[in-house]
Amino acid sequence: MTGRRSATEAPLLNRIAELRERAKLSRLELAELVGVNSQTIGYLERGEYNPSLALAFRLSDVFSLPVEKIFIRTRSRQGRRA
Amino acid sequence: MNAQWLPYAVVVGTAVLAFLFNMVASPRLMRALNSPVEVNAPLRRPRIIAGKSLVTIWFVSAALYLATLPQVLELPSVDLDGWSLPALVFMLLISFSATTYKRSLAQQVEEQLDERELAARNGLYPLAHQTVLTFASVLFVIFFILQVGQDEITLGTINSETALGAAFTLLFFFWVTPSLVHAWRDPVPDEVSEEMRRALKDAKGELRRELRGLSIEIDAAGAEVKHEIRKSMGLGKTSNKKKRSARGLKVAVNGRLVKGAPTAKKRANPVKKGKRS
Repeated sequence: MTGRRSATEAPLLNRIAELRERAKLSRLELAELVGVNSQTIGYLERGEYNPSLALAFRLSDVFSLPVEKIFIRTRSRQGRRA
Repeated sequence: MNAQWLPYAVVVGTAVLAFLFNMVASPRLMRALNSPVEVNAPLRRPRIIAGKSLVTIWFVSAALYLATLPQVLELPSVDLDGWSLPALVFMLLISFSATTYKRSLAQQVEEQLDERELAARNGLYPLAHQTVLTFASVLFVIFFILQVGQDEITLGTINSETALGAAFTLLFFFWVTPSLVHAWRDPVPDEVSEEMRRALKDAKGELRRELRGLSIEIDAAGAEVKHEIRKSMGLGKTSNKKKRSARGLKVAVNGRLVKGAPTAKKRANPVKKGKRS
């Protein structure tokens, strides 16, 4: 079930690294602001981990941007068919 | 006498040397070989080797301990029983290293973990238990196949000390497996922070600039020393003036530039234009 879902799941891209650079924040500072470990920021920036809704909203608060401006969902295969 | 501890010492020595080699020599070797894997990720590859070798060494240490239990491994003229205690200590040490590797994520309390780490830790346990069960099942099947050929299953003849040792190893395996799974699956520990990388880059640049400045200063100091030597030997400005005068060039006399008259020697041997500079 999970395998089938992941096969059609759209990759989630994000602009965290870019926004963090623009805000002149280090990974450690951003991690403290959103309440996670600095390694998790690294995972997020590399796209190796998708955050929970709560963390996504905390990030949007820090960058003062709506969530959809930080996270970009590429079109899935199903979406393309539709 | 030596034959008794030789097999054990060889295996332990090999395992320890392999671990030390991976931790210490491998990064240097990779650098020396200019491995493409090393590019832009200087710590990644050795750490991966370290994580995987830790798992391997745990299994080696557990196998060593089991082998030293009575009646498990019978070798002609080799008495392994005496090595049970050192093997057990070795296994415990490796277990400690494995559980403390990567911030002891598997044993960490929930308050210390963020959502990603919590998800990672929770994912470790089912997989770890599955691994233990698979491992135990495979061992059981091997044991069963070995016993099939014999007239009767000799499970009851196992020494109680051996059974206790095997149970203890299995218990430890249960305890340490989540950490082993973590070390194997996600072996890259704390990456070099961006700040650290930037600081290193700045420090390198600064050092290079300082070295450049230092070489200029050394040149200047050398020139000054030369000048002082010449001055102390009485070969200061007068000598230059004489030289310039001898070449028929303008020389300063009482603040005015006067063309120096070439001497008879110079007239006979005029200085080439190219050599003036």
